[in-house]
Amino acid sequence: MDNKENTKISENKRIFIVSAILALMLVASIVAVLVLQASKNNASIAIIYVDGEKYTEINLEESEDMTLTITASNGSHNTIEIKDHNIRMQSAECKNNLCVNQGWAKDTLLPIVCLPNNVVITISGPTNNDKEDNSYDAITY
Amino acid sequence: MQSHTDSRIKQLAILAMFAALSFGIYALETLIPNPIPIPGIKLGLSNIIILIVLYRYGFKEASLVLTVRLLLSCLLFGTLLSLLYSAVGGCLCLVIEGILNRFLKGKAIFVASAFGALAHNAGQFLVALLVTRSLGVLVYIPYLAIAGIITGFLTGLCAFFVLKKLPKSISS
Ligand SMILES: [Zn+2]
Repeated sequence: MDNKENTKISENKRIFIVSAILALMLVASIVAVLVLQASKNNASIAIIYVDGEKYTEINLEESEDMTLTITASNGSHNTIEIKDHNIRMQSAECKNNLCVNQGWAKDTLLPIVCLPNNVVITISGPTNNDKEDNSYDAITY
Repeated sequence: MQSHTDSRIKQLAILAMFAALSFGIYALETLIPNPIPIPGIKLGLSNIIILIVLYRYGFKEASLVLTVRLLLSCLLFGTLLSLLYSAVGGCLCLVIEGILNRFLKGKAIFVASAFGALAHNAGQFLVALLVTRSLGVLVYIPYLAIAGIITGFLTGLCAFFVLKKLPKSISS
């Protein structure tokens, strides 16, 4: 009787521990998403990767409207559009067209990924070396 | 002796039925347009069947059903790359669910399922990271984690209710 009670308690304890870990992960992920959304504003550098190699880097603030067609190593084509300083996958020869449905990169902040053709567009803030030098100067002087 | 063979055959037939069901649901899910256009996020409805087999029969039987589903979907609409994605995701998911099934002694199936879906997304993400080799995709981690926990919880609930209703007679 007593033994049965004990196993019952340890069972509940186990469920509690695992659930608590799950809840913590959920909260941490939600916080991370909120932080990412808050840092949305200064994203202006788009980097296009094809087959894991950096293909080109585009400063969206300076770039004019254009389209760019890439031939993936499997022979499929992906067309990337830049318009109003934003970038998207305009069309792609891939199975589910998830990359096209992802829409404009600056609106989602998430990298646009075409996994079947291995084409990735990431956007990030400028890696401003001058800025870092300045802050360094401010500390030394 | 005779009845032992009979029950083996019966179990094999039931597992084959579950494998077909799992594949059917998987195929149907690929036809539904993705409501959230983020690569790697989907409901994972076919995992309901894997969970049912895992909890009612065991790890070995669930592995068998998963293997059949993976091979069928690869043969019918997959490429080698898509097999790699779904195999790594599916196997990690099953292993985690198997461990938690033991640890939680068959209780709280939705918690085990949520962890399974997390493991599934983590596995697929790792393959994507290796394939694309661009660190920018790391941003996806919290989105995939949230999606995994929610979808895993929901599919776990489905499995829970099916297991409750599923007659014991078909599993013995
Ligand atoms: Zn695509």
